[in-house]
Amino acid sequence: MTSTPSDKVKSSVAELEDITMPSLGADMTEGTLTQWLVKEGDKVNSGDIIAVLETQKGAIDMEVYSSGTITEILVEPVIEVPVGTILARIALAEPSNKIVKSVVPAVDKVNETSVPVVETSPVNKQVNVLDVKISDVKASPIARRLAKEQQINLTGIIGNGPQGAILLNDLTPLLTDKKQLNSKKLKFAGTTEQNMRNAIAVAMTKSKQEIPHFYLSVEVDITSAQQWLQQQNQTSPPEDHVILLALLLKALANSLVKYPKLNGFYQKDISQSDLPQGDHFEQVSAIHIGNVISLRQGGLVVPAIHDVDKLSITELMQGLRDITERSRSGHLRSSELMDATVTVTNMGERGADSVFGIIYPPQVAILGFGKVRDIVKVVNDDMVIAQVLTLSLSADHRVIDGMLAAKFLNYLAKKLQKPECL
Amino acid sequence: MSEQVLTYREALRAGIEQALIDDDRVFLMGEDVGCYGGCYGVSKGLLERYGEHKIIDTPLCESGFVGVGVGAALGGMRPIIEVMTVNFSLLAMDQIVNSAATLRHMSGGQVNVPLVIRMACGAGLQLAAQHSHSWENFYAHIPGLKVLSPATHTDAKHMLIQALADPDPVVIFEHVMLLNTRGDVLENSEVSMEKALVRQQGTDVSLITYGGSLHKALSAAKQLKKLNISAEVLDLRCLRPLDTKAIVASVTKTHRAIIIDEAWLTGSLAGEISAIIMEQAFWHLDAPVKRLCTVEVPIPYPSHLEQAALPQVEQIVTAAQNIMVAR
Repeated sequence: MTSTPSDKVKSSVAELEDITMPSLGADMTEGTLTQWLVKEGDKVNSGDIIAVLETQKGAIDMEVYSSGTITEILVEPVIEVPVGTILARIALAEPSNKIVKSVVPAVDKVNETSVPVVETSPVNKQVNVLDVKISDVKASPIARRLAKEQQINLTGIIGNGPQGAILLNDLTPLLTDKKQLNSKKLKFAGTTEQNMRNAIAVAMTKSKQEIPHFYLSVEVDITSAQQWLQQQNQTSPPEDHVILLALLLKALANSLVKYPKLNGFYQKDISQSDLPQGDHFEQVSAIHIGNVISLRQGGLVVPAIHDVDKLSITELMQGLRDITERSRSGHLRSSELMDATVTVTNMGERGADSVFGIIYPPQVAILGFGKVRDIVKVVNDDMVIAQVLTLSLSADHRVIDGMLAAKFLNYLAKKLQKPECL
Repeated sequence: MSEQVLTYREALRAGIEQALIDDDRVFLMGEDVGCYGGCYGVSKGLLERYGEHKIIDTPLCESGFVGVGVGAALGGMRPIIEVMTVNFSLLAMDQIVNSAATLRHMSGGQVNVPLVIRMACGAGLQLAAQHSHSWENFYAHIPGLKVLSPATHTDAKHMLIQALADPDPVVIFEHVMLLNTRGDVLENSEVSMEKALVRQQGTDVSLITYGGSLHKALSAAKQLKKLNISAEVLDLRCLRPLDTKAIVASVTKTHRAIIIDEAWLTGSLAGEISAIIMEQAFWHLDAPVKRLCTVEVPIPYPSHLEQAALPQVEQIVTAAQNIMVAR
């Protein structure tokens, strides 16, 4: 990409930061901006929802990760762009101390020549393992003219022409007419399920092919935990009831504090592609637990509950209810889909005895909770009836060894024996 | 508008006859135009009806009788010179290019050359390499000339009359494959001879062509309609000056252009038209311009090779499908 003089002027204002299409997980290659909730000149705070995205995971509320003023809106909805495409710019309220500075020159409103891929926020940097190639956009002359007139950014539009060239017909659905917007949305509704299926297929295939998984399981007695829950719930109204999953998550978070090697990201060194020397594990101190939530219409999402180790059981319970509800209503926030450091798949009451999940890259572990069952247990030469569930762990052998994994599982099982201490 | 059905040959003859009747200054001159009735039978019967002062047989000397035509035009006559085929016109090229086309300029506007030169062109009759070429582009290259390519029966009749009314030299190309075809001849010309005409309205792709390739483009358009491709067929009619407005208008509408030109690809009019589209309609294009021209070999004698060398309907259909592939 050549930078024009005006680009240089913009770049020299060092406080500008790019807002890019977020990668909401390794399985996401592109997202569709359906609506801006801010306009140029608006002041925003870190964490504000600034746009609505349509992704393979359904509708997502996109957050901004810095505070400041939106200076430029670079793409107009509805438009599908690859992950990493610059959507807008923000003038930071405070000087950024982020290590990774934007190295992408300003993109003209009608720039069609490259796909910017550099992730500027640390959050993005952590999770984006996608190697989006910078390549020239091929578009027919009339497509370019129309894009300019309608202020459509051609980067990321999938062209149906020869060699993927963007043709007139590829743009006509994007023209920002209200009617067309609505019909576009309808079209999304029809294809979301298939999109999600495809996304799951891609991510899981990649994970299984790249990550050397190994599996262990431990049967854990949760009789005391269940009793404790019963006591707690007796004295509280139904809407405040705590479920077993909250305990499990809390115990998991505490165990991860002790065994941080299971919490983080395995980063591939993209520049050296096949050489593993550049790959490394990046341990993360924050514990954000992704929860696999299956959707009624099919498919699943994995929104994270943040900083589970720092939450009380009650707060955690609220968090669980909240993400479950919003997963189904389609108002997940982008950060929730981007920064899980470990994932949990919970089979629930109607599920299987145990589950060995596939790791969600770039994470290195996924915990499985089987369903609760009654067993006969020998205690002090006596037979007692106990409630158990199978804790299973799929771990990335590039980072974790079997002994560590076993210690971790046993520690987690032990934690669950004293629910009052969680 | 009343109309009659004639062969292209009869339509040409009707045009000549009308010119002879309308204007006493008009005469027809060329090889075999009199006693033989014209090499392609266009002037059959005219000698008997109009006499040897109006229908003049010449020796086999193109530079000579074309030169005489230039002189007669300078002298106030309205000559129609028939050069048997474009292939032989090379012998008269000095007269056409250096005299007819330049005298108005060389004389500082004192004299003009109201000369009409008719010549047969095109392949398809198994006349081999020395009698089958299409060099319309040679003449379309020359400032000072006007170059017409009547592809319809109405144009066959009326373009001659329009050409005779022009104060400057006009070259008319009559495609040999059209001579025996029958078609409607309107009583009056549809438009001025310098205007291109849309012969088939369409929205998806412009088939830009002229002369002998027009009917191929029209049958291709018919087939394409069945394939759900709406082809617009633009008949250029006048190759110099080109009706660039019509070309640009059509491409602006369809965003795609295929130029069918029975000339060799390199240096063809198709290339010129493509350049015009690039210069004036580039931002309307949704696909690269496609040229369908004759294979760059001397036109072969064997029928199957001759046909293989020329742009054909199937190629136009395929090219249109390809250009529409990503629709």
